[in-house]
Parts: sequence; structure tokens; C-alpha cells
Amino acid sequence: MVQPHGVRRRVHVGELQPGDHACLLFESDEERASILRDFVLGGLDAQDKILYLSGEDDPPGPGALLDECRLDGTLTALDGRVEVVRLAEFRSGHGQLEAAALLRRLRGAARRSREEGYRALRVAGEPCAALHGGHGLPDVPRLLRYEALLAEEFSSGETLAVCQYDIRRCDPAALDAFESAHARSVVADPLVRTADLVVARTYRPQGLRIEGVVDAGSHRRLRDALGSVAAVRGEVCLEMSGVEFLDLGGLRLLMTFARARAARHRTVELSGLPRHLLQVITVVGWDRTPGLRLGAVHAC
Amino acid sequence: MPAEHGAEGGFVHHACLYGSDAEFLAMAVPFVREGLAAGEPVLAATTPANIELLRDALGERAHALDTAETAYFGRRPVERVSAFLRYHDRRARPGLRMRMIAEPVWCGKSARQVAEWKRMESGLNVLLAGLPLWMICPYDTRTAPRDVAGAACATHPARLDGQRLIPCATYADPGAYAAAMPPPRSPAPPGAARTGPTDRLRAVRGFARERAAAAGLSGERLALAVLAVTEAAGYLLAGEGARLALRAWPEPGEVAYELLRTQPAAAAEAVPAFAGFRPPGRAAAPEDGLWLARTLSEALDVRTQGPLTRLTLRVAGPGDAERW
Repeated sequence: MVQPHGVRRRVHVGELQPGDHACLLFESDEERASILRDFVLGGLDAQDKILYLSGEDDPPGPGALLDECRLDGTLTALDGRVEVVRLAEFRSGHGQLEAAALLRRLRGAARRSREEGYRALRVAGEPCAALHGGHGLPDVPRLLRYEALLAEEFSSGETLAVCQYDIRRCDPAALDAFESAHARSVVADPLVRTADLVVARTYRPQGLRIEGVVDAGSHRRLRDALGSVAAVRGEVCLEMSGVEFLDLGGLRLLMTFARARAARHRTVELSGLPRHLLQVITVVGWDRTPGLRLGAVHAC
Repeated sequence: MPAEHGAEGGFVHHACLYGSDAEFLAMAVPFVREGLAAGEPVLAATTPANIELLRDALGERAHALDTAETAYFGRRPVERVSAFLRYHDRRARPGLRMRMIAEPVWCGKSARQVAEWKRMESGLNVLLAGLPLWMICPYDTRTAPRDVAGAACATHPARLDGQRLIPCATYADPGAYAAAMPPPRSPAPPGAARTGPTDRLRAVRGFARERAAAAGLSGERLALAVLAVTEAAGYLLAGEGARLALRAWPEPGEVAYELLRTQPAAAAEAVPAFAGFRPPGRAAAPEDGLWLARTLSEALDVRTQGPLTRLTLRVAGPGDAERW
């Protein structure tokens, strides 16, 4: 199981379109940075304007967004293309969200971006942190009111948004509620995307999801993708239930990767392995490869 | 027993034709005893009856003897070679030779299987060359067909009669022996499905899948058939300018694929007689895929004639209950 939330509604960050209102459930700053970075850079490519909903503790200006993305703060391409809105400004004295005021602000920003010639307004923010100042457990009804507001605004098709939720700060029921409030759940862009093979980074668990065909023509791509998770601490999980074909050379790459990790006392789990590949691994004798853990086999 | 035979250095391959339990023991007991006394790993891969005889004769020393019921120590030649090499890898000790009694099962094999095992017996001289291994292959003349006992002298450089060593005057060069021992011909029928020539693995894979499914294979069995054909194709296509024409047809109990490789005359290269019998090692090798294709097939034969190489492989059909 790679994406416990929203398996059927996954969307790669690079495939987001105006009108999309997606959530990003993240568990590590690295995960958020990777996806948000693609979100921001994708916005530049698509001629979108970016609106960042900042938190109470964030510094003014786009610095917080760049920090979260781990983008170079001097990235000049972002000049004039990032608008920052402090959500805290829309809280009433009782801590309630002043929905109408926020909506007006968002509409104004969307209108301005159109007038300035942008394709769409691209909104990013972490509502929990922005509305709570990063303290305490999230107030689910209040956040859902906020999400409802965004959803209504985005139905116009001229805005798209990624709402970030930190899994570490939410209980499972709250996460389910937040995810239910979004039509799609955003995941990292694939590291490899060809007609035959898709390899995507996963974060829960840490690893890769491999889908499609691996043959002599794609060994180099698979090797590069494995290299991108070489530095992961602990176990790397390779989710393989979507593998249609994997040749012996491709299997060898996985074994070499496992052996290299074993040398650093780290492991690789092959999860959802098609049954015939388990047989091949065993017949070659690779089931004894140091560092390799054979997880649940994928039912045919 | 003449200690100088195989005392050091590379692979020593002897046959032993025996016609009684006593004759078997006359060879086996001193061979095993001497090995164990020298601290060498010793394996007896023979019939359960012979293992029992040997254990009784060895008494307490039988505890140190490794044994394997020979019918299950590699069901087919490629698995047999892998089993030998794995035993070696597992038990090798620096500075020590090892010994094996390796009795093939001949009784009840089909003509094609007998030919394959004879070729492999000859091929062991090439495949295991250099290993510090003394192997004796006993042939039970009470049950082995006469031609098989005769072939033992062509596939082993010498044979043991009790403890007496007799060089085999009819020993044949393994490559020449294999070439002279082709499998029974079973050409593609006129209605066989075909595709190619192609140099694209995707086309090969698609064809392999379609024909396996048409023959009634599904799920894991189908995936393994596709993998076998694709790995064999990948091996053949590694040759410069190579293209493959494929044919496939169902046979009772099997699905047959024929891969006909054409290459520009200047690049044409014959496939070595015993290519693809060694299991993949630590580093990738060009023959790894062919080994897997052999391992996943019921039979795989490859012949080169001039610029043409014909590889025929057969995978078990849907009616093969051994894999249900």
C-alpha cells in the first residue's frame, strides 16, 4: 500500500489543471518540499500566478514558500509572480474565519492575475498551520468551512490549489475528513515516465512505485530512479504490483541496490511483487540477497 | 584408489559402469572415505537405494556425507548444472578439493531428454572446467539403456572399474559431441503463427504473450512463458545487426517457440554449444538471460548454421499438472 489515502484519485503534481482543488498529505518536510517545488516550478512553466497562504509565524513575503520548497531564495523568475496572503488577517476576534472577506481577497487575486495575463491563479498553503499558528490539534469543522470556501471559488476553473496537511499533526479521522473535502490527492511527479514505464517516488512508505515494463531499453532509467532513493534512511519499499514485465537485468538492478543498502545496514522491501517474479528471484537464488525483504506477493 | 587422479587442480570427470550393488560400493566407498578423511566436502547424488547402501557401508562416517536424491537434484540438465555449481559455492573451502558422486537418472526418460542429458554429461567437461572437483558419474548397467552406457565413454575422459582407472578411447570433444547429438527434429507445422523479422523486444513480448494465451496459459504460467521467450530473444538480439523471425505452435503438453536469428554475414557468430548453462553470478554476464530461458523452459535447443541461428524452446502447456 503506497498511498493509504486516495488511491483512486491520485494526481501527479505536474498534471494539475485549473479548477483542481487537491490535497497534499505529507509526513516529512522532504516530501512536502519535493511536491511543492514541482508545484511552483510547474506554475512558472504554465504561466500561472502563485498565491501563498502564509501562516501566523511566517515571515512576510514569499520567503516562507521558497523555504518550504527548498528553492533558492534568489530565484528571480519568481519576482512579481508570488502573492502572499496571511490567513491570520481573516480571523475574527473570536478566532473565527471571516469567510466572505477571504473569498473577496481570493477573487481579487484571481482577477488581477487574469488582468496581468496569467493563465490561472495557483494557490498553495497549509491551512492547519495558517489558521492555528502551528499550535494544537486542528479544528476540523473550521478547516472544512475554509475548504468549502475554496472549493466554491475554484469551481470557476480559473484557479487551482494544493492544500497541505501534515499527517503527523492530524488524527486519522481528521485526515479522512480533509481528504474527502478534495476531489484529488496530489503525489510527486514520476521520476520516469515513458510509454512503457512509470517510476514514481513514494513517501509513505519511503521508496518507489514501479509500473509497466522494464526491459533492456529502460535499465538506465530504473537505475537512475533507484539512485534517487539511495540516501533514504531505513527501509526503502519498492511497490511492484503494477509491474507488467521485468526482465532478469532489471531484477539484477534491484538486487544490486539491495546489496548496496545492506552494506550500510539498510534494507529494501519488494512489495506487491508479481508471483512469477518471486519464482524467478528464487530460482536464480537471489532470495538470499543481503538487504532484500520480500513482502506480500501481488495476487494475480 | 589412485590418489593422483584429481588430487589437485581442476575438474576431474570419471564414469563408473556398475552392474551390481557390490560394484557400486567398490567404487563409492573408498572414494567417499578418502574424501572425508581428507576433510573434503563429499556429496552423493544418487538413487535412494544407493544412498542407503553407502550409508550402511560407511557406518558412523556417513554423518559427514552430503546426500541428494538424484532425481530431485536438478530435474533437467540446466538445473543439474546449477545444482552442482551451487553445491560447490556453498561448500567450497580454500585449498580443498571436493568430491561428488553424480548419478543421472536415465530410466524412463524420453528420447529427447536422454539426448539432452548425454550432451550435458559431455558439457560438464567444459562447464565445470577449472573447479577443484572430482566427479564420478555412476551408470547402472542393469537399468540404463545400452546406448547410454556406451555414451558414458564418449562423455567422460576416463572411467573407474572399482578402483581401476581406464581411459576412454572414444572420448569426444564436447563441442563436437553436442553438434553430433541434435535433438529429435520437430519442425514448425505449416500453420504455425509467425511474426518478424524484428529487432524489437516489445514485438517479441507481444507475440509470446499472444501465443501463450492462445495455447491456454494464464496468470503466472503465462508471465513465465513470456519471460522465457523474451530473455532468449534478448540474448540473440545482442548480436550486431541481429533480427528475429518468430514462430509458435502448440504441441501436446507444450507450447513451442522458434526464434530464427539472421545477422549480416560479417557479424554472424555461432552460439557456443553450452551457452546459458551457468546460473547468473555476482556480475552480469551476456548468457544470464539464456540461462533463465533454459531454466523456465522444458527444453531449449540452439543451433547455428552459417548466418542463421535457430533457437527452439518449449514451455509446459496448460495441461502440465506438475505446476497446478
